[in-house]
Amino acid sequence: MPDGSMSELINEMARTVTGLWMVTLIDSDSMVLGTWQSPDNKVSPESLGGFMQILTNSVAIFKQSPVGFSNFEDIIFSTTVLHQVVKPIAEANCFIVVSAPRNVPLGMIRAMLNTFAPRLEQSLPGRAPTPRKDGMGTIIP
Amino acid sequence: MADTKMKDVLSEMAGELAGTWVIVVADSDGMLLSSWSSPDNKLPPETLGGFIQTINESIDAFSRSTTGFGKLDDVIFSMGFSSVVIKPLADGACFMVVNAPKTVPLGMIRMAANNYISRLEQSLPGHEPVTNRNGMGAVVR
Repeated sequence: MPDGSMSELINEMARTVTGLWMVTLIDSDSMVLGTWQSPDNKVSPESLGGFMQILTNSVAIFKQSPVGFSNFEDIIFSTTVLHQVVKPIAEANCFIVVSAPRNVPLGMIRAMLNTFAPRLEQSLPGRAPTPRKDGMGTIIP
Repeated sequence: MADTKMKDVLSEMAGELAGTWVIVVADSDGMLLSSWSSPDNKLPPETLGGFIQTINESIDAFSRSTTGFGKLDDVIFSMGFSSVVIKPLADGACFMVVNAPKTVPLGMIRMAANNYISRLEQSLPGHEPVTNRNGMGAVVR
């Protein structure tokens, strides 16, 4: 059940901003929980693994340093080709990773992430489930 | 001489980013080349230099991974009440680090970083010297 709503949420996220290449939800061991890819995407979500593990280690060291005195909201890597935005959710137990070409505005990606992060958090297994709705959008008790 | 020029460029950049706490230029080992800090700054610039060392491993892994194709433009860390923007200079031999409170718009920091990067590169020891200008802004030969 949580996976169903998670996939729906990820698809909904991907539809919100045009031009995205990939939206992926991974845990801190880089295991993929859910993903959406456009036909233009050239990097598989699984190949994020090694990079995410090094990033997670760096984030852990960063938090212990005097610079990292508060919680991370997001990390943005911009290259000449793409933007990659990583947003920790559920106390940094999971990360939403969004890849997009440079022509997609970063502000749109960040706004989308901020909007969807709490809903994705709720859709994680073991977290409070998102309310079930019927075809008319009414919550089913 | 190069350090003085770099300090001037950093001060000028800080002047255009009202509220910024600290701007640092450090090499890939985290050694400081030059810095500017506001009276409100609570972090010694050396700490930010050390942070480069921590994060350099991630940047390196990112550049080498299939995800990081293209040249790294910048890395942005957004935290609860501050942001850290890291921009590589001189093909990743050095990094500029800007630490600012959340009240300073991220777009302004990125734009300032983009606009000042070439002047900072020119002020690196061994690079082309910055053009000398008199008080009226005219180029002095």
